[in-house]
Amino acid sequence: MTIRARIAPVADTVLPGFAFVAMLAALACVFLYVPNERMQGAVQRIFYFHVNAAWSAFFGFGLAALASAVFLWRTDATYDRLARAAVEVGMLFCTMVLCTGPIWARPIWGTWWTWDPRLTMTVILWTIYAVYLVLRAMGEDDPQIARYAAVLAIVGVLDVPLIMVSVRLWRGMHPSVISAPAGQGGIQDARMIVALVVTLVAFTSLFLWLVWRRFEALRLEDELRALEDDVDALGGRATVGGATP
Amino acid sequence: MTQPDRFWFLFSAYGAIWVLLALFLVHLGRRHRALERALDELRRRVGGDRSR
Repeated sequence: MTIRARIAPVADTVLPGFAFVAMLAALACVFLYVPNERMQGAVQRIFYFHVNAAWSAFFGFGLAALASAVFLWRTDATYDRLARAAVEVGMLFCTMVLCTGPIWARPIWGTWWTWDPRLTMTVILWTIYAVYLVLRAMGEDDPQIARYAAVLAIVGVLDVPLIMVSVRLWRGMHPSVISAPAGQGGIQDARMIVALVVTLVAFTSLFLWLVWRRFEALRLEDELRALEDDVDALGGRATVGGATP
Repeated sequence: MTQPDRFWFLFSAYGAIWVLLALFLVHLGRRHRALERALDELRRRVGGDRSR
């Protein structure tokens, strides 16, 4: 039995249900369970989804870098598909971070955007992986493009640790959200930690399910393309979802 | 800034998250349907080849 065959039943049936229930629990925690933050009031509740969207994006880009490294080493298309799926889903969560950040910043900082080191590095991260997706969309099945994209995925992930240390390193406006010196923010209430953990579980399960769906779709597209080539070789013409003439 | 104003920002942020997620799911659904169409086309062609 292959690894895929072992994962598929869980990923197709248990994971979406679990992600759905976990997301409902996360919403209940955020809107019904946690108290208002002392300084920011209700708007601080953006924190739980904003931070976990960032975690999911970093997880996605980290997974993509790891899968890309294995792809370059073993030239197995499975890892290339995994990297591509992880980047696509990582980009979704990175976009969520870049949308919710300014909405949170406006009432707290008085501005939608500032070129703070952490914000700037996050935009750079988003741009790197946007280039990755453009490269993949343009390159289609070109193995050379797949290798270039794999290198880009590995180089791009170097931005993630920089984003994480940027608050301490360059002292921008962005607060250190999880832990901070006494009296300088961070999360103080135990209920906030519970909500953060529940939201983390919800986002991680949603991330894994989306990556799985995308990975399976990419695998089917490749298999279909190979089958169509076989049919063509036997004397016919075919298209994959209208992608080729 | 008053509390109702801050609620507006809170719900906007959560709204943005759900809209982005919905767009991504629609995108996945479209690709899935395109894949199904291509599979049907292939089945039809293979069936046609066999009947020849």
